[in-house]
Amino acid sequence: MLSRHCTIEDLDLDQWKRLASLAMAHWRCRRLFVAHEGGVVRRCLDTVAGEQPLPFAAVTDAQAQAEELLALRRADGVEMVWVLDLEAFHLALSAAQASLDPKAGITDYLALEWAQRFRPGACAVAPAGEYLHYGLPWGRLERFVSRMLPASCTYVLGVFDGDALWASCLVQFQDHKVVGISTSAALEPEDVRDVTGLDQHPFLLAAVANRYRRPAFGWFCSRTDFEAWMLAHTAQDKEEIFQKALMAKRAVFDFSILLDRGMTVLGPINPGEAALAGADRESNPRTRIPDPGEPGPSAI
Amino acid sequence: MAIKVRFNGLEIDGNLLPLFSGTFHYWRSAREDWPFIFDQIRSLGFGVVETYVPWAVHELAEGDFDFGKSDPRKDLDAWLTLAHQKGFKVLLRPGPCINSELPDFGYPERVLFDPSLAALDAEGNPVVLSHQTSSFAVPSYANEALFEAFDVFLSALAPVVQKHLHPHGGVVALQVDNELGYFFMPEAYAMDYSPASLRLWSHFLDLKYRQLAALNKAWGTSHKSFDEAPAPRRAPAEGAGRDALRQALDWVEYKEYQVLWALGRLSELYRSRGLGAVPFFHNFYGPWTTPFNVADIEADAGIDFCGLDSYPHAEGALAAVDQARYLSVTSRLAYFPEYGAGSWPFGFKVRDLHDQACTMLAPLMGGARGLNFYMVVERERWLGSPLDVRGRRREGMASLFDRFNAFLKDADWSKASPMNQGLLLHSREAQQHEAAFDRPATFAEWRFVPAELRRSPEPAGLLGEGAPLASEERAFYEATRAYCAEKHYSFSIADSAVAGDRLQRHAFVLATLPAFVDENLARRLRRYAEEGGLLVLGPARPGLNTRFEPLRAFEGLDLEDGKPLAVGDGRVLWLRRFDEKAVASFLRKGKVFADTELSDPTLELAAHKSGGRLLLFVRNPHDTERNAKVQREGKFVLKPLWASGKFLGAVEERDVVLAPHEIKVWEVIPVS
Repeated sequence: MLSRHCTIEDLDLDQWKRLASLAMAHWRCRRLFVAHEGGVVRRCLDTVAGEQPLPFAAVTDAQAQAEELLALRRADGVEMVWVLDLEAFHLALSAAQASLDPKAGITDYLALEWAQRFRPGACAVAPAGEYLHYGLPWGRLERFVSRMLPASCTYVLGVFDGDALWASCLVQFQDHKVVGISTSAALEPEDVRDVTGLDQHPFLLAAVANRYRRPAFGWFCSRTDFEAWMLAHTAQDKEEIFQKALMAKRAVFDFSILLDRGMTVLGPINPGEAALAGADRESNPRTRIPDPGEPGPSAI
Repeated sequence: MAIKVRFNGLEIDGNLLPLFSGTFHYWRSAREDWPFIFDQIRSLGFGVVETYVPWAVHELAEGDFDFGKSDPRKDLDAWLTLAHQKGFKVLLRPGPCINSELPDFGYPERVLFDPSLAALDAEGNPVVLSHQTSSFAVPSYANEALFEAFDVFLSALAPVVQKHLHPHGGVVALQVDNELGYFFMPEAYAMDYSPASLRLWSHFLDLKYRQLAALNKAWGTSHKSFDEAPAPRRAPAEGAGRDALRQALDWVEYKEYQVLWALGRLSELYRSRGLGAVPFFHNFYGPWTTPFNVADIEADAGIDFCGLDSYPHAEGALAAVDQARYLSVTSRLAYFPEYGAGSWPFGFKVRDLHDQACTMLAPLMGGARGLNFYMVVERERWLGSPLDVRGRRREGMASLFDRFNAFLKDADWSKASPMNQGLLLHSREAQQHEAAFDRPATFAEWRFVPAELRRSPEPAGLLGEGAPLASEERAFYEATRAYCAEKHYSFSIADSAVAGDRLQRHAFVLATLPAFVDENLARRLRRYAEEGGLLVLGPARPGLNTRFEPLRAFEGLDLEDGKPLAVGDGRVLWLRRFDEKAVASFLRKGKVFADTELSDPTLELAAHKSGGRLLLFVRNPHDTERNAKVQREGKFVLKPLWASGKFLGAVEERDVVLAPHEIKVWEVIPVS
């Protein structure tokens, strides 16, 4: 899904720091590792408290034992339990490397790696769940992108803390691949000046559609809901947070382009059709590479 | 060569050029913006710029390169000409590897996608690196075909670069490759088991042992040729003998050799293309322990100076201080070819203004003589630089760089040198001993499995009854470091390559040694003690050399645990376990006291002299504000060089206040 040559530019430092911090939280969560050799448990390591007494002597049903141990230790702050045979885990991941298709890109390879991790005997993780990468349910996103999106569009994430745009992420898709990632720093300052709160999200959507000449859709929500969504450990928990926020009107999923391609909510022009028709971005004064004398988007 | 490498910079036609610079990638900014960007870099206070030259970006097809004929941003000649016109000196880094956050690290796809060039892991599978937006099989740096492919690019590039080499142009040094050394995966058994690497391994054994009989004796084998000697793929397991450990240690040593060999091969290529008129340098990505060997690279790989890269966050700046402490006694020029100015977007944590402010002085605190700030000009796949992609100032960040360059002038940094009383010697033998018990690992395991589980258990007694395990050696080294920091001794860090004269500059040496050490190192340590030095060693009392034969250099030293022994004009103390009281007593009797102390032992301190001036660096490692009294003999005043506050009157102790993770610098002026 992520193009190898995806552009990553116009990143607002504060916004990106917030997003990255939440995305990496998944990696920092407290984990308990039970390492065994062919079923004989050798070590138990807590990533916060260090070496632990062995919770059981032998691995009989790795997944069930991981779930059970998580239930027991959750009160101590343990968020995840891994039961793994280090040698089998290594062999599984080594084998994944032999199947690399370098042209396919990183997301395909990481999904392959994920599948290999759970080869019988290698590894069991509680809570079990979908493949999450940077806190994102990757399998679900890939299905959505390949089945629901038009060939060319832009996804807009707008997270609001009160009236302020706390974080944003603009993801451009072309032929179901991510070809560009940026933040609101890519937009003209006057285009985002009036985006003061969740109810102003259509203006943000329109500004993005114009900037990238692709139809735009997006998810707009409060900081609290977004943080909860990013920190949830399973795709199911994420879905629940997402739906609750929508029902409580603390979030908007504006997906009109998914129903009517080429139309944006308040688009003064029809950027979707232009993009789909392969219009040259350089011909559009709003999207071409700016002149040296004029301030560019990254001046924001 | 008109350019000489000095400890504090490059001497060019008799004038010193301190290497403080910033990175500006020409192909990532619009050509019409270049003049303005150069001016803005100058206004930050820099007179030296650095850039990569991306092989993949310039190559249109095999043998067909664009140096500006189609894309004006790729006109390296024009960029170098402009840099020279603007009065800049240039550091150029043509690869082949450049990383540069490009999806393919700068290699053309035709090279990277060629399976015959891939490095292989212990199971014979290609080693895959997932980085930024791509996953690719990393190339083997033992494979001649990689160098041949690169040479096609180099031969096209050389005419462009040659006319800009000093004295014809502004290019004053070339970096040979970038962060060479197993692509962030230094674990001993992670790679490289490709056929090309295994051939090089046989060659290494031949070089090391010379006689097959010597190899067979050390390994307990009966191989009929060096080609038969298998490469170890796992750490010695329970039940293994000492010969298995010797084999594993040879593999660990080979990993250092492969880096040295590849850099030597590449520097030879550079010279063969007529680029040898300026010094060559290299950068390791951060670690200075095996398989990274700065001293050997400078001695044998045709590299004039080798530095370390660092991108610390506020809370981790101490690592950069220690890197500089190491470089200042190991390298010809203690230099950071990449030091964080902003960060890449997909790192574990984005570096922000606070990080930048708290880390800028860390390398200087440790004794660095030069830094290249990567990147001073922002670009695609980067954020948080002092200048944006078109050269406009980002005020918060930019003013920090103004201040930094002003500080270098105020402190007269080109004349500064660390005033280190002690030296921590983390022997290469101890590092290799530790590495021999790595587990084989893929990048995925590196991401998911904690470091503690990526180690194999070490069978006891491989090096003799009671001999310390590698984990005990690691604990000993860490205890020596903690001791010096807490007692506020200003100290250097070194490995086994430390020269005898550099040992002599220190009042005491705390050496972490395993049961086996190189005869030359043992001889240097003994001589250091005999000539009046105070030597603390542990946790092993070495009795073997690196071939596991009896060690001659320590013969006649009747060392007993915890009992100081007079050796010549000096003294030696062996400790099986680090004992703070024993070391304190040993140093006190040797009349070694910290010159300056702080009332808070958790604050870090380093002293430097600059001309006749004494500069004091203090770092607060905590995430809360701290204050402490600075205590010295006699009356003194503290003049703020990088600190708020007034130039106050003479006292015998002075309160200082440090914000969380802050580093401050004062000039200490004694008052009679």
